[in-house]
Amino acid sequence: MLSPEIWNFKAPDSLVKVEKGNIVNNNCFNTIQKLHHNHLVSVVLPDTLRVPQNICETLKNDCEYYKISNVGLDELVNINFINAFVRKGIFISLSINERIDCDDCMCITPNGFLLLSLTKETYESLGLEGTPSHYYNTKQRYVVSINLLSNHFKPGKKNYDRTKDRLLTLKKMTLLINWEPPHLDICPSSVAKYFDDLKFDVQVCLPDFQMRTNYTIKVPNFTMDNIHEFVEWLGMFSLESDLGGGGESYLSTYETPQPYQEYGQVKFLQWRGFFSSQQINKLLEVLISHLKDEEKPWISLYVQGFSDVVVGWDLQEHHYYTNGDNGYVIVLNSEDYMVYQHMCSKKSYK
Amino acid sequence: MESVKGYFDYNVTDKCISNNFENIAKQLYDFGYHTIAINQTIDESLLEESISEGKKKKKIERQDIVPSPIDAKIIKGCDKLKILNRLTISFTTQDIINRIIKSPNYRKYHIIAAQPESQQAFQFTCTNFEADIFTFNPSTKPNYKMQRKLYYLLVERGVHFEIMYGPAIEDSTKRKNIIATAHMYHSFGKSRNIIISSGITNSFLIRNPYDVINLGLLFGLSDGQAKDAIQNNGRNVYMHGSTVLEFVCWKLY
Amino acid sequence: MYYYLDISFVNQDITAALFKNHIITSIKHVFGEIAAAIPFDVVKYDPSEIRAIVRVTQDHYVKFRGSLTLAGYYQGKPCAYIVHKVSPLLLSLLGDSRTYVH
Repeated sequence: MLSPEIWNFKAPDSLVKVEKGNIVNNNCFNTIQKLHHNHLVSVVLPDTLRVPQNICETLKNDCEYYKISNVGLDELVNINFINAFVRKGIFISLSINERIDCDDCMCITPNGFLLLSLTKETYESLGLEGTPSHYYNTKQRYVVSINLLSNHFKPGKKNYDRTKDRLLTLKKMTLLINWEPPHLDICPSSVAKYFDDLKFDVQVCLPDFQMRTNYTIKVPNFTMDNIHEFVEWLGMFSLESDLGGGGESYLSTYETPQPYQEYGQVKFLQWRGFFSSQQINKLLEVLISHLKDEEKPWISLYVQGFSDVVVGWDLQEHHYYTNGDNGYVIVLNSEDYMVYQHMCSKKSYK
Repeated sequence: MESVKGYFDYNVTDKCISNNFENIAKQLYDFGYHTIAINQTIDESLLEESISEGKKKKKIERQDIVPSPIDAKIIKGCDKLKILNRLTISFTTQDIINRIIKSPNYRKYHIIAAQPESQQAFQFTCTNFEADIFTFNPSTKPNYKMQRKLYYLLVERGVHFEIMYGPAIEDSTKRKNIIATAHMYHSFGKSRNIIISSGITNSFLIRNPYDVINLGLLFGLSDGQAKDAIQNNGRNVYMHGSTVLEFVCWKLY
Repeated sequence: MYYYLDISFVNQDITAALFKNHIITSIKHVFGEIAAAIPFDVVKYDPSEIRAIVRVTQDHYVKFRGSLTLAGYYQGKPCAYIVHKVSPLLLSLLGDSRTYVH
C-alpha cells in the first residue's frame, strides 16, 4: 500500500551560486547584467561616519520611473513607440498588480522582446504563438515572445498587423517603465510625455530612499570561508534583528559569526523602486571607487528582483511557487569580491 | 463561459453570510483568493424530519427541498472577486437525489458536491451521479470503504476530491479525520484530482494560499499537486460544473 | 541551511517569550513532543505589531509552517498566524515587491 510521507518533508528547492574573484578583472559586474528588472537595493557600509553624497545620489538622481495605468498592450507594439524608445536607449518595463502564478503578466527586456506569461484561457483566446511553461506538467501556462526589434516587425507585414490586432483582445494592465535615453541631452521624461499625449494616466515615481546608522556593532570579518554565515549576518543587520551575544538566549540562539570586530558606526542604505541593471552598475562603480579612496574593511550590495516578472536570470522563465525572489549579494574589499546569487529552483513541479 | 482566475476556495460556508460576509470576502480577496464558492448544504437526515412533519401537517403546496442559491451582491473594492454557488448533498440513499435533481433551484447552482454517508450512496456517486466535487464530513470517520478502482472511476468522470483545512484548525478530532482521509486519498489514488478548500465559518480560519500549499505537502500531496489543489484543479472543477450545467439544461429542454 | 519566515500573530498583544512558547505548543499539538524539540530562533520581534522574523532549519521548515497554519487557539480565544514572506535568504525579507505601492 502506498503510504504518504509524514515526517521528512522537503522544503521547496532554491539554488545558490557563489562566485569569488579579484576586483581587478571586473568580473563582479557580470552578475548585474543578468537580472534586468530590479526592485530593492541595499548597501551596508561598516566603519563609516559620513556616507559620501555620490553614493546616496546614484540611485536617486535620474532614476525616475513611470507608472502608467490601464494600458492596452497594443500600444507597446505601435511602431512610433518602438522606433522612439525601444530601438534607442535602454527600455525596460513590467506589469504590476498581476501575479505570475495566477494572472497574466508582461515584461519588456532590454534586448527588445515583449514577453507575456498567460493562463491557458487567455492564451487560447489570444491566438498568438507561444510555448507552454516549463514549470508545469499540465499545459496551464504559456509564454508568448514578440521580438519588437525584428526587421519584419513593421506595419504592412502580416505578422505585425495580426499581432497588433490580437493584443487588442488582452485586458489592460498597469505598467512600470524605465527608459534610459541614448544621449544625455534627451530627457528621460519624453517617454512619459508620449503616453501622456495618448491620454493615459502617467504617474512619476521616485525611488524610496532610507538611510540608517547603527552604533557599536559587532561586524564579522569578510573571509571566503564562512560565506553563508556572513550573508546571514548581513540579513540580520539589515533587518535590525538581535545580533546575539546578549543575555537573553531563550528567544534566539543566533550569534555574530567569529572572527568579528566592533565598529562605532555602521551605515545601512536602502532604495526601493524600479532599477535597470545599468543603474546598479553605476552604483557598484561608485562603491568600488569609494573603497579605493578610503580604508574600509568591506562593502556589501544586495539587489532583489521583482517576484512577478516573466523572465528572471539570463532571460529564462521565472516562476513563483511559495517564493519568487531572485537576488544577489556582492561583497567587496579592496582586493577581492564575492557574489552570492540566490535563484528560484529551475525544476518543474512534479 | 466566463474565465475564472486566481486561487480558488470552493467552500465558504453559508454561516459566513450571516456574520459580516463583506469583511470575510474582502479578507479572502486580499489573501489572494479570486474565485470563491458559497456552500449550502442539504442534509438528508434533516430533510426527512421536515418531510414527515410536512405529511403530518398535510401541507398541500410542495416546497422546494433545495434552498435557492444565496445571491451575493458585488462587494465594493472586490470587483474582481468571482462568487459562485455550490450545493453539497449529504445523503445515504439515492432516492433523495432524484427529488433534488427535479427541483428548479438545483439548476441555479454552479457546483454540485456529493457527500455520501453510506456504502450504497458511495457506489451511486461513483457510477450514476453527476457531481463535481466529492467531499466528506470531518466530524466522523467515513461510512464507506474506498477502493482504488472507484477512485479512478471518479477521476475519469472529472470529479475532484475535497479536503478542507478550516475544520482542521478548529478541532482536534476533525483534524485527525481530515488527515486520515487525505492519507487515504494518497494511498488509493496517489492524491490525484485533489482540491483544498477552507470550509470556514469565521474569518479567523482564513489562511493565505501559500500556507495552504504547504499544508498540502502535509496532506500527502507532491509539490505540483499541492499547487494545483488551489490553482489548476480549481479551474477544472469550474469547467466541469459549467459543462454539466449546460448539459443538464439541454437535457431538460 | 536555514529558512526565514516573516510572521505576524493575530489575536492580542503578547510578549516575545510567550510568542515563542505558543509556537512550540502549536508544533506539539500537530506533530507531538519529538517535533516540539525543533530548534528555531525568533531573531526579531516587534511587540507593537506582533510581527516576528523566525529562523528554522530547512529540514523542519514544512512541519514548522504547517503547525503555524493549523494553530487555531491561544488561551481559548481564536487566533491566527499570518505568514507574510518566506525565503532561504534572509535579506529578501527586507521587502516584498508584491505589496509595494509605487
